Amino acid sequence: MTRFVVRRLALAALVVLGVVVLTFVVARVVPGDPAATWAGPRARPEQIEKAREELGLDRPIPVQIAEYVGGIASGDWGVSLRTRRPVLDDIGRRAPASIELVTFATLLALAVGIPLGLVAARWKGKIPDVGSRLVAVVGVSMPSFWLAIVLQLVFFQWLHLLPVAGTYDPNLDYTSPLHSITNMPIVDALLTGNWAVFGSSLQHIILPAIVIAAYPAGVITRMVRASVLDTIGEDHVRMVRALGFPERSVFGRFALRHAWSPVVALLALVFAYALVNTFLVEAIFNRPGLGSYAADAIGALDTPAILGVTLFVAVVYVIGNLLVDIVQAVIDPRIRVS
Amino acid sequence: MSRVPSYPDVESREEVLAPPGRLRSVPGVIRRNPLVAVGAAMCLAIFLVAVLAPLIATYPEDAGSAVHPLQTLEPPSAQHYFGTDQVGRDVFSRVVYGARISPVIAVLVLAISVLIGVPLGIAAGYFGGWIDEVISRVTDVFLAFPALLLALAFAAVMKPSITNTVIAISVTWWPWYTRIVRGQAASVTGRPFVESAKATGIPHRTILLRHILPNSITPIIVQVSLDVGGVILTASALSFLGLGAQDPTPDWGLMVSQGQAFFTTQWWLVTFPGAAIFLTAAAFNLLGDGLRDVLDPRRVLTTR
Amino acid sequence: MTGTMTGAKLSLQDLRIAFGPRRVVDLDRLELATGEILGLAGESGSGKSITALAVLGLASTLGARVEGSVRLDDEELVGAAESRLREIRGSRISMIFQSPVSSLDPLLQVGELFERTLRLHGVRKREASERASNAFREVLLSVDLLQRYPHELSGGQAQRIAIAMALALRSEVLLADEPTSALDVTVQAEILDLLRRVREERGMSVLFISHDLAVIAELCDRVAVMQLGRIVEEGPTARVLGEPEDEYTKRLVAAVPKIGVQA
Repeated sequence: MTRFVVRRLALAALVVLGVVVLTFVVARVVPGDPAATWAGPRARPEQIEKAREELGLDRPIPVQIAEYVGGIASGDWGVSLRTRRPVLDDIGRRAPASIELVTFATLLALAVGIPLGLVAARWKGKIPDVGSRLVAVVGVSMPSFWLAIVLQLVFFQWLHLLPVAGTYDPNLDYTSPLHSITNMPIVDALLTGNWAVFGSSLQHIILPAIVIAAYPAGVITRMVRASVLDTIGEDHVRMVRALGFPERSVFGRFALRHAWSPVVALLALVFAYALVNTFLVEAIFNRPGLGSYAADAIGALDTPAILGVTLFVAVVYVIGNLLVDIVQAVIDPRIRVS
Repeated sequence: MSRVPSYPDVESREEVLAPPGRLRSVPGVIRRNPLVAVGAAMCLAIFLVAVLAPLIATYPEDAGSAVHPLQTLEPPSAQHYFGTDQVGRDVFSRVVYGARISPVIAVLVLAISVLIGVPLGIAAGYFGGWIDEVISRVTDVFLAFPALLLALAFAAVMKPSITNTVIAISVTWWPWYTRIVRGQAASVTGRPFVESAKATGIPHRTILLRHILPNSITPIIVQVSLDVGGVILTASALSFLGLGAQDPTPDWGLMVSQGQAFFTTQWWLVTFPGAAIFLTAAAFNLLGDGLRDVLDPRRVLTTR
Repeated sequence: MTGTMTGAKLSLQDLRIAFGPRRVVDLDRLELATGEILGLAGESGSGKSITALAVLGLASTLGARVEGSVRLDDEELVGAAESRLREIRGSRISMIFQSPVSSLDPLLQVGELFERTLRLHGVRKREASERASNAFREVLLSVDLLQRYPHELSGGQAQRIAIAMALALRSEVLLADEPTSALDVTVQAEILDLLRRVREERGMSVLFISHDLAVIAELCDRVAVMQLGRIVEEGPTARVLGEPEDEYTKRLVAAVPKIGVQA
């Protein structure tokens, strides 16, 4: 098992290196002269040359790559053109809230997707199956930014049931201010026993979580259905039936355990995609987080910030895949050998 | 881990009754999966709308740079089925013309992805060795990014336009095809008849064209049909963020982002273009599902 | 004609199995006596396996329609309540299959499967462990194997474990569907030996399904030959295989390669 983990770690590190290099490539695709941009619109030729030297653009490409990689590794991810702060700092402050949102959404997606997938498999071909598959297709085809606005329209504007935007009721900043520890509102509220903010945060997270959970829920439903149906046809399920187990055990106790592995495999993908979806959704819900930071950066053509966020999410994805591989090996003893 | 049901001697009801051969009967698939017929019908409808746009749109000029300052932000009515937007253009006509944009972007992106990804995948699977190593590592790195993310990064550093959207998405989409095709090519290459073909001195090109390529076509077709919906969603996300089509192009994503500011009072600006994106993506997803059921029911060929 | 012959453990009569409009089994009569090893021979597609599944009431899970009579002792199984069938599966009639390793749930240790199954049939926890250990000893396997996962086992070990399961459950009838077809010849011989012992020591009745006439000749008291869902010949093994009367049986026997004889 240890050898398995070590091998996967080494592979992940290699991929991260490749990711950093690719980000460098993207950065160099920027049209125009970065030195000129840095020096400003009224710079004289000598100033542009000086900027070029400062930015290290006059050195050979491999050296630039090495410097870039070294910078990334030591925490220098550039400075945001918009906030004038180190990009890594910005990301560190904004990411936790998004991670909280995405975690919520992922849990919601699992809570909806797994039962729906099981129902679809159990009653394959009948109405529950068709219904689940319809719901799954809807989830997977929904543009998140549109769903966000529509939900705001329905639940806030017309039904007045849920708040339209924000992380929690802003008035609470006066009556019951939140003490930030982790920068995750709900977690902080729990940790500090701030129930007013806790309740309000939960109310405010419902709509964004539903929007972000839509795509993963669809994907998970299909995966569980396919996986359970695959398993049901296999020899060991036939054996279990021949041993006298009832259908509900066959699906529930035996087949479902086999579906966990592919679902876990999906989790990294789902988490990363959800994180990218926050770019579209957080601004609509006026929630400060990594997503709205990225959206702002895109609007302001803040290249260092855009690339920093890209790198960050990619690394999260690689780490996520690594963790998922390990969990899968724990669940399914056959994987440790391969 | 392949998961092939293996009851010896015994088949399920469907397999016993289905006609022989690798392709399952189309009517059978439709009967078991009525949603597929719906998807196919929807795709046909979208195709017709796109082709017949000048005839269907009530105010074709509004899909271009026309402005009507006296008719701004009017709710849906008999004259304007979907209302008018912030510069007075008929939303219905713009949505109709938008049907020409998204599917075309998808077709272009997938064509480019296949043209780049498939040859690379075949080369990696067939030749193996260091060619395979290099191609696979590069593919791995590209695939380490969630699709929308890399497309976003590329699009964000280029000037916003439909062309650049196509380029940005294609750059992130080709690796999937390389990976799928590499697996197929590698497994076909390992088969005895290919070994003997190589041994008897048949040139690589012949083997590739005659044997490897035809065997890889099925997964490509299935994957393309499944990807159309995804590309449409990605492209509309990019234009929603302002990285794609620019005004006055009637791109659905752009229309949603333009209408966002008014959504509380003028709900029609956002609802109809967004619904168009949703329905188009859903149509292609349903169709893709059905195609997969026909060509690859065991799901051994696709990655998503 | 209804009613079982006295002494028949398992009796199939007028058994018809169909997938939609296509009938795959049309069996007049087949009887397995107590303590007998009955061979069911035939080529792929003759309907042997689905017949065995139908005995357990599992043919419907594949979408087949079953009509006719299957009696265990004097109890009718076709049309019986699902709950009754579940009681019978395992505890009175057991089934073992062609791919023994893949028949065991890969995510469970062998011992876990034993425990769950025994508990399902009402055996208390401590007795369950005892029964499992005893069964393992009967099939000459080390009790250590209870801690293993199926992919760590050889085909022979897995098949012994499947038989051990039947022993632990105290089954009276064993349906064996091509149990040795996927095993090496030497391992095959061990399994056949085991089945013989199980019959002698426990009085278990065995329905041995196989396409391999040589193995049937080795093991079975009587044999029934199936072709396209029908039984074309039946009788003591020596007689049927030595002096076949039916055309199809003659062709099957002629097709068996014999060591030392060149065609």
